[in-house]
Amino acid sequence: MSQEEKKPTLIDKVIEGYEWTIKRLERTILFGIRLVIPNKIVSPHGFLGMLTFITFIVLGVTGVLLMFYYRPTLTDAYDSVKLINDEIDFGMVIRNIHYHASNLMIFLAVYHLFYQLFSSRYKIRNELIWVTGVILGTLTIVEAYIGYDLIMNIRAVLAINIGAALTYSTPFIGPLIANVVIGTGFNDLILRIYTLHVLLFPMIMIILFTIHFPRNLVFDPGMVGIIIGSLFITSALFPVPLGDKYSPDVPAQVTVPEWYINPLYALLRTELDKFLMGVLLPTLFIMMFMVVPFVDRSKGMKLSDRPIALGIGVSGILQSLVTTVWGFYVDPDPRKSYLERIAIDPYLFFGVLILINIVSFGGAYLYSKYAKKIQPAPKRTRQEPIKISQDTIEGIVYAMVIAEFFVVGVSLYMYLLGDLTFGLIATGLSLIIFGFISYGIRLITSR
Amino acid sequence: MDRGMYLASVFFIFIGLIGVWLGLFADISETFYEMTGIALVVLVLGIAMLPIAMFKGGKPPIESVIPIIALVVVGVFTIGWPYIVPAQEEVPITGEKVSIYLIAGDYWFNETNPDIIVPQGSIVEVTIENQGAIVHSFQVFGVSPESEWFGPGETYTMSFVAGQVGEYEYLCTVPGHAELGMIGRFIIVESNQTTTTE
Repeated sequence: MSQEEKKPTLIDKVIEGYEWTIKRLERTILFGIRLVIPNKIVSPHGFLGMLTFITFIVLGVTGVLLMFYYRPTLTDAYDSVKLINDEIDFGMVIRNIHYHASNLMIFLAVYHLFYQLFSSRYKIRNELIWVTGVILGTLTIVEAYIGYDLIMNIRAVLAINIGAALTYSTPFIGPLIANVVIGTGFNDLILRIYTLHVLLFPMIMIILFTIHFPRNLVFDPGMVGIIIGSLFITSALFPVPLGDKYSPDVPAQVTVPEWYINPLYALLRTELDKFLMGVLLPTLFIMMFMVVPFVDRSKGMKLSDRPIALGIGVSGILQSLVTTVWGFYVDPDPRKSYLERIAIDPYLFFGVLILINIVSFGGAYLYSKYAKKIQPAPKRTRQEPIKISQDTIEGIVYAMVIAEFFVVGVSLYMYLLGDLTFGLIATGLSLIIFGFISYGIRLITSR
Repeated sequence: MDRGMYLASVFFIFIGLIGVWLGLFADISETFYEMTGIALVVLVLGIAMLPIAMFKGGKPPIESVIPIIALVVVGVFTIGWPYIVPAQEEVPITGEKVSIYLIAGDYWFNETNPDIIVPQGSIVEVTIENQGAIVHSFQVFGVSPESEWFGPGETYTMSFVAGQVGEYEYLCTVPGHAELGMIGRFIIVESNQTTTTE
């Protein structure tokens, strides 16, 4: 009896409070989403979407920190970014992470799209998820594009000019959109795209996430650690330059936009009709991906059973690559005028694109027709497993735990010394080691 | 072996190598340099993914080495590009100094765009005085780097080595100015020939 009458300790109270909270949280939407932490080592291809979302959160956190110092006016914008970059503690680090995370998010989103396309994940009643995914990918690129406009350097103004020209060229709704977004000039424009960048677009994306996320989400802490760690190291090694401040009296310089809108830039540089090149063709390109689940009705999941999806995938990759690289090309001959240097011969350009389409769709058709004849049914050969003893793995994990403590110590020490670059590298390294430790533990426990 | 990941990593390494080559070594367009960062990241990602894809689930089959050999060949060819392509013969610097004084006006150099003749291997020091009303610049296309843009009343000095023998053009690189007439002949002759420098 005496045991039952024992006073509850503090730990008991904490546990009781935890259970109380969990029971109440069960009634909320939060537990509708189930996070699955894999207990074996699985390929990250399956949860690239989750990694994209984690990058979105990194962007949100760093973006809010940048908002403390950024001033969205024409005269102050560049100077405030310069202030963040040069003066504010950790400002350079935050800005670099924000910039590289935007690149990473677009890269992961595009990778996610192509993996889902080739592995035909859209087939099992996932059509809606697929369509919202394509919309989300487009929004991601637009969000990143208006994000780097906010710096107001020469590169940003080039991008703004492209965007403004495209908006005005759109018939009927173009002038309306221009009224809303551009207003009467740069001062209106920068405040409005700032609002779009920090509030409206992220809100739309978060709402779309509810239609995009499947009910079971794979959350792999190891891979998240490795990706975010790599992001930190990249941010430390490749600090993003500030660029020259835009002012109206400086003559036009030859410059190229960020890589993700280079396809658009290449299309515009053919100097054909702006609306056709800059609005209609990109929309058609995006629509090509959106309709994949509705045109590919084949029952099979293998690539050789799905020539349309294979053709769209291959031609999509090749067209994006060719137009991106072409967008980076500017004739180096200074004897030519600015317009002559950036012009792209439309016959050559569209000739190459049409050729890519013929080759990829034709190749996909031929592959689906002859794949079974060429390839005999795959032999069931068992791969010889690699034998590593349990002790070795445990030893490696222990060594990594010691290394982790060391690296975290080094990073903290470097921040104290004020060496942000080295500190960020060490932080990234510690996250990567954390990822490998989590994989090592999983390897031990899964046996 | 994870086939999907293996193909993706080979693709990434291939794209990354091409991107790095275009950005750093190909010397086709300066703006390609902007692409190097993303290409490097893609290359590193591919290299990191490759062993994971190959050794997943056991020892990899022997055929999987073939694309890697191809990639190594591509890699040696791209990264080793400057060593494979025979470099142009080094021109010995004779140490002879040639000073040239030019006056840049609105759409002319020295009013008549005179021919400039310098001996091979000499160190050419060009001083340009801007007497026009707008910015100008100077470059011997294919020989010297591009100068900064300098405004009215400013004087700019640059020096460079006269390399391969041949006929070149000096010009103002501000867009449109060469077309308006700021272009003239720059001739590099063999060093034992008599030189006439205006």
